[in-house]
Amino acid sequence: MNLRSRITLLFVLLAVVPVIIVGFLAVYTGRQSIEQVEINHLVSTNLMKSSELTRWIAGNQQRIEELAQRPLMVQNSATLATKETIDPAYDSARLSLEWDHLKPRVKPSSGFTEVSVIGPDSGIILASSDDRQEGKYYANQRFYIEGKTHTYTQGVFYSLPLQQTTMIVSTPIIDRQNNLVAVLAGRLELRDLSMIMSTQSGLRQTEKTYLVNKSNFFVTEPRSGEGYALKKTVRTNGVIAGLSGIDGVGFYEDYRNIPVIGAYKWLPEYNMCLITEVDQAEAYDRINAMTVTVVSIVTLLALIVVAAGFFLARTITRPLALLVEGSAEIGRGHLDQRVGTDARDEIGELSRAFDRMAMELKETTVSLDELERRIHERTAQLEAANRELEAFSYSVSHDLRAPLRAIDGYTRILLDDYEPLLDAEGKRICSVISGSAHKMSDLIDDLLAFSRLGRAALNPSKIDMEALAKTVYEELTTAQSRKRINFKIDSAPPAMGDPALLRQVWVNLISNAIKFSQHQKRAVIRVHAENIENEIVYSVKDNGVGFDMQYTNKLFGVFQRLHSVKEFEGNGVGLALVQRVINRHGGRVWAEGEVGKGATFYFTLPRQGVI
Amino acid sequence: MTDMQAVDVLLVEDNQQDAELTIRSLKKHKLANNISVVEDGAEALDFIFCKGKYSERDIKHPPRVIFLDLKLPLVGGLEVLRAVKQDERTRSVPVVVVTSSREDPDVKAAYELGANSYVVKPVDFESFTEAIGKLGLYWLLINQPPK
Repeated sequence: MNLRSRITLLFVLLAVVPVIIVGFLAVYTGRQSIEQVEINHLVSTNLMKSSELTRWIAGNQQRIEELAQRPLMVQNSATLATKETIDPAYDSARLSLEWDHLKPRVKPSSGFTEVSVIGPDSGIILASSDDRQEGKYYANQRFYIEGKTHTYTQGVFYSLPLQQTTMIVSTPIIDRQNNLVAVLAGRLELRDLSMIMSTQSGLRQTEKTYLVNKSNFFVTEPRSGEGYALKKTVRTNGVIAGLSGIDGVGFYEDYRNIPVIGAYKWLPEYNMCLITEVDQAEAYDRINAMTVTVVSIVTLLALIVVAAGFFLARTITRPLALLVEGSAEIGRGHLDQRVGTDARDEIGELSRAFDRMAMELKETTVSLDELERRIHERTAQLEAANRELEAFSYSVSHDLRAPLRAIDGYTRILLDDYEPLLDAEGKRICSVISGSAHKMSDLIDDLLAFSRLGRAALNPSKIDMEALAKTVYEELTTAQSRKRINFKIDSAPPAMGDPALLRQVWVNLISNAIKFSQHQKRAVIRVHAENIENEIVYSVKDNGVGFDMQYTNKLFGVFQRLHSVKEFEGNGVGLALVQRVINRHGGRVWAEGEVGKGATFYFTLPRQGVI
Repeated sequence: MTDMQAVDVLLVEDNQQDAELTIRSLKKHKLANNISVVEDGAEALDFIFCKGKYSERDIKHPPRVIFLDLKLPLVGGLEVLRAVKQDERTRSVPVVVVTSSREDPDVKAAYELGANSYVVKPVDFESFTEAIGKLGLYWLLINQPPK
């Protein structure tokens, strides 16, 4: 995943996750509070409805009582209760009751469907707004028994005489002597109750309040239907709980099998349960609306954040991409490429640092180029010098020899052809001339050999130094001379080097040792070697004339000699040659000595590469 | 056959002392019957191919051996050697390269061009006499040239 995607993703996570959490919490707590509000509303609706119910009943009781207290009601009822039916006063009283007092009570919106006067002893309806009811027997009815002494409301019950569910308010009719004259009973219009119950108290469309009696029958019509009241039973969780005498709230499915929130209240005085329900769908509608709002906000926010993150990532990665591109360009050698921006952030800083680097790199490269050019120049100069040197060597060897040959040749001719003319001194001079010419020739040869050493390429291989030293010693000595010399090799481990050149080293060192110990009765020469750190230190020690350590720096110079030719022959090239060879092998040379006590010559070779 | 034609040794040598010493060495070994000396490469070529002042010479009678120095004025020794070895008429003539130095970078070139010997002149006169004498003895008496 590239940087831009990662930054964008990070932004989305940082912004959207908290919003989602907050949204979830908002929805959750919103749901909680809305439920609480809903429940409170339902409970208060129940309370309100129950008080309305009480008021409605109390109103009807009042009306019945008011009717019962009318003097004509008392008088006529007393007549009916005391007179025989055949008595004309009975009929007159009955008609008066029915037409003047009972029937006018039974009118639409009057609250009663039937008002009857029941005999105080018989329990038989003496007069009724409904003619068909006369003569019916109610003596064992509760409303009748209770109604003899006080105003009483019998909750919804199934009336056998009426063969229907009903609700009756009863009150005693009492004369001035405080004697019970009759019982006045009014059957309540249950549709009024339905009206009261179904009157909406809130804005909720699905809210409904209804009454259910002990037998699980609807007492009032639920809002969403007709023909339920007193005909259908209901056994929802709310109803079951309410009928068991509990007040409370619950979430359950109502009689339509639709999830609702319901509050139930048991009304013990009426043996009914008051239920107020609202569809969960509606109740949660606001929560759902809120959820939709929250989800929309989250989505919108996410989109904004993604866009912002994308652009921000772009502003971050764009300079980076430029930087990458620029660095690649610089990498291809275009050191004039510039990636710097004037941005004041870290990337701007980086880009400017990058430019500085490129600039310095360019300077360095330029100076490197310059250096390389100079190296080329120097190399060319050196090669030229080398060629010149070779030509010079050639000339030296060629042209210096010719005169020497002539000197020697003509001296010999002089000796041959003019011998009689030369005395002994003349002949000696001739031999000095000849000897000098030879000497000169040897010097030329040595000098050339020395100069050749400096130029020839090394051909390194593994060398058995012990065998080499031994061979060299044997070549330099005769059986005769070996008798006088005690030559011993302690150790000489193998080394990497050019065999021909290292052979030359041994030749020079061993021959020197032999030469400078030639005056000893018994010459002792020791070859020794040991590993010291990364080097092998070889040494050749003799018991010869030695040397004064203060001249040690002159030992390895070309043509430098510490002894006269008369004492020890030689031309002073040997040790210079040794030093040159060893230096070319990456080693060092030095010497220790004391006049009259011998000398030790050391040289080192790197151990690296020796297997 | 005139004296001019019957040349045993052609010595190409610009150094007069060396020439003299060479001739003396050959004489000492009784090998110096017919020695011709030329001092530079151009003259050597004239002599060998019978041109210029040597036009009267017959190319059918080349020298029996050529002693050739490499460092010569005008035309170098290697040029002379090449000319001799490239010409059918002279190819069979032995050429002994005689030079002062073993440092000579032309040693290899000389052999590649067909030099029959390469000899370094010793500084020591006795050695020199001996070397020249042996060379003369070999090429003039022992070596059998093609008929």
